[in-house]
Amino acid sequence: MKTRLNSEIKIESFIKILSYLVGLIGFVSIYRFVDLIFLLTFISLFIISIVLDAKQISITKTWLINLFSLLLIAFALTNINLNDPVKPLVESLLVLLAIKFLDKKSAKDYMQICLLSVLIFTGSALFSLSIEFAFYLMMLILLLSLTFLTLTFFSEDRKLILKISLIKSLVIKSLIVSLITIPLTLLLFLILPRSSFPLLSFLSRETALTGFSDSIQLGKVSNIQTDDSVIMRVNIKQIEPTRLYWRGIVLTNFDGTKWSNINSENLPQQLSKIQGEVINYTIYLEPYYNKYLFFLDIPFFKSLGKITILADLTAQLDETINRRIKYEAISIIVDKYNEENLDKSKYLQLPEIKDKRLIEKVTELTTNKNDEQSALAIMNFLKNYKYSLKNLPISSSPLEDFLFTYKYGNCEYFASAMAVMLRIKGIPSRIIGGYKGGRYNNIGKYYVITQKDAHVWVEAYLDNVGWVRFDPTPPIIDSSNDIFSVLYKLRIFFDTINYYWNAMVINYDFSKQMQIVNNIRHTLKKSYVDLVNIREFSQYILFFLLTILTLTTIILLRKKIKRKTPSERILNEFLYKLKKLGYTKNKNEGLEEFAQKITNSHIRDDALIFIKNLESFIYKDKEMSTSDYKRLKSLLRNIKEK
Amino acid sequence: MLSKNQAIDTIINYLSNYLHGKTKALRLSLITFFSKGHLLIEDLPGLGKTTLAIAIAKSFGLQLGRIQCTSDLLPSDITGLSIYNKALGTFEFHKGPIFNNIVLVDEINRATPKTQSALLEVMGEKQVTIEGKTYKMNKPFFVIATQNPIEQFGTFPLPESQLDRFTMKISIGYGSRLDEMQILKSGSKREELYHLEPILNKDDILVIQQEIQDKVYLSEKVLNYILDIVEATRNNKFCIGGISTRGILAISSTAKAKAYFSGRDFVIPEDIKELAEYTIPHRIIFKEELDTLTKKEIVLSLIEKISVPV
Repeated sequence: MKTRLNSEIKIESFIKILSYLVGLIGFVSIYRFVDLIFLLTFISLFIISIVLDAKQISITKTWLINLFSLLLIAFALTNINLNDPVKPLVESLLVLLAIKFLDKKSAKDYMQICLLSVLIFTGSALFSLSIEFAFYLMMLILLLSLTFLTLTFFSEDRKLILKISLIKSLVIKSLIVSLITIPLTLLLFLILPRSSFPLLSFLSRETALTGFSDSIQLGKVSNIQTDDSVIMRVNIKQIEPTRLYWRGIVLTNFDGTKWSNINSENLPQQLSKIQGEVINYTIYLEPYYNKYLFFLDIPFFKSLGKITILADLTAQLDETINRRIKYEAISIIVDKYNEENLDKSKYLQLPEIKDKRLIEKVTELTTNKNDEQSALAIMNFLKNYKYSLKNLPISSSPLEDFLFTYKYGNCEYFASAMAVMLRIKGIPSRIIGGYKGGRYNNIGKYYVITQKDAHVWVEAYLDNVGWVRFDPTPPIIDSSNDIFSVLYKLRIFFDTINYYWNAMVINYDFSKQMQIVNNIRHTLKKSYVDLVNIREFSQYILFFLLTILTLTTIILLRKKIKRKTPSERILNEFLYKLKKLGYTKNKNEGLEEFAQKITNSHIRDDALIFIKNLESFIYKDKEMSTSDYKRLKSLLRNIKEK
Repeated sequence: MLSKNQAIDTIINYLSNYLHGKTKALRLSLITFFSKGHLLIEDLPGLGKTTLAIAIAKSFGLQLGRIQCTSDLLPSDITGLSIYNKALGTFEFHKGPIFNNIVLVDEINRATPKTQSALLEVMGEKQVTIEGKTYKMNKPFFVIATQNPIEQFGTFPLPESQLDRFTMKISIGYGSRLDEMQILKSGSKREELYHLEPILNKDDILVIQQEIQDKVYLSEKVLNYILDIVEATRNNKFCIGGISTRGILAISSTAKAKAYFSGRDFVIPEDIKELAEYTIPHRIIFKEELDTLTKKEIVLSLIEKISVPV
């Protein structure tokens, strides 16, 4: 890259530098995800191109490199499979980009470099959406706008010398373009219906609000239970809502104000003796920025993969759920199950109890009763308390305040009180967090579970029976949604549309058929169905394919337009201009013949001059150079009424 | 590039002084001449055909021969014949008037078919075989034939197959009132024409003819345009027979010559279009007997339907 006098630079060199930067961004965004061979191929070809450009050598025998690259692409494409079609595609694109660097000559080639980089960059979004992505995106937008601006100069005159001042103004212009573009894009994201593709989800991660969390601090939950936003939709047959407990997390450790989770053993469970109704269902879980998955109590698990299944019958993903996911599951609706070899001590942990009234109360309720009777007594005692979401007792001893002073609270108080009282009695207990119930959508045949359905309940371990579910919270009188109101019906209707969109469009993927076949085989072999395939990739793939399709269409259209030679283009401009001036050429007229008919003598003479200059390119098949084109352009500009 | 096209403009300007109102006819004649073709002028007598021929011959310094056709004209009157030379005791070939550079054949339709075909054969082959011996025509060789469109009695109209041998068929027409006023004022300039100084010599003419043939470019677009026209005449409801292959060659060679005259080394569609009324109608065999004007109109309307390549 030779600069002249430090204040001027050849436009070709400038474009080259820009194109290398653009290519580099594409590469950097993707390099962590591609195989070593493609990495090395790209890097070596990239460096070779830079060296060749620096020494101003152009290689003539590119066929060898092309052949090698084609082989690499073929190799990459043979690796395409249903699970991960993106990687081979991105790898092939990387090789294409590297080749493109070797023989870049015209403005078209630089355009293709930009295009390939954008494609690769889009591909990178499918692998990871980290904060770097945003950074690269900004850089890419900036560089691309600068490149396109410069290319307009370049296509006019390849030999142009750019002054530093001009470059500065170009940079400023493209900065402005980028600065305008980025907020507008953000605005679009707010206005447009939310797509399932979380391109900028990291921006909203902190603000995500859910009725569900890893731990329960008494009284800290504010107005979540009035939040109508949907957490999940479940495609399931209609069941009495009071029987629906959506299990999410098990909390075992209480410190007086807060329940938290001691890491549960990662053990495959031994469930063999459960009898009950078997339910198959599909859950569409909204992104809620935690990793717990919800299942109808009590779930069966089999598949492992990306899911960690805990011994307490909960499951979680290895990463946060920041996009809508779909999973299928199977459950048996019972309120008890047995767990063998239970370490009871873990479920008897209690903080130091200062208030003797609590112990007295437990004694009073459970004297001369076996475990089951005691549990029922405690639950019935708590059922007399009132349910409230306002003015909750918040103090260092919220439980005692709830029991003996306020006598009202939300489900967390009820469940905590019961679990603690059970532990005082010596019955192992724990708190289960999740959702309860849901509203059935008759049109779509699915349950909608919203944030305000968030719920906690208690499981007590009774000898010879196992874990038994107790829900001490008194029934909530829900009057917020009058099911007869028009608004409510409208909401149901829109939710149904939303549901079908997610179920049929967003989550559709071509491996579905394969899975159905597999599932049938599994079902036949075994008596249980596993949790199948969290398809987080399906929506990305759809997006990626759509992008590629769109861009290919654009390229093809561009090629079609490009097929017009410069002489045809300028002729069309000429004819258009004269049409505007009121002279239309008939199909059966020759150009000179047409011009001779022009009544305005100024226009006629100028048009004739133009035509005489243009004719040799049309009828002599002469190649039109840039200077010819410019000359004709200026002649064309000359044509006007005087 | 084109070396002599300036000279052609000079000639046309120069001769226009002698041929009042015949500039167009002169131009068409020269196009035919330089495209190595032959010209048929269909016109009433006394409109300046002979003057035109003399002017062309003299301005190029070429020999002019003239044949006045009558029904008793024999082929040998045109080609020449062998006569016994007593002194040498051998037959000597005496060249006929056809052995000139420019031959004016007046009222060709009055000659008998036998004579006509002998003449047309010479035009096509540019050589003549008499008593087993072949004689080449001079170069350049240009025949200007005339025929009277009105007189029908005792004539033998040329059949279409014979007409096809003429590259162009033109008519001079009456001069304008202004032109004829000019002629009246200054009198006929026929005499002066005989004393014209040649502007180009024979070699120059051959060079120009060769340049037109070799150096003027006919792009595929324009070739397709020609073939479109040809096809249209062949599939037309008024026509039995369309343009022949010889006709196609005539169209392209005249178009090249016209391009050359305009200072271009490539043919544009207008070159073809503007000459079409002279190069095409006489080659087409129409279903009905039509007069010249109607033929021309049909051909032109045909061409108007064909889109011009740009």
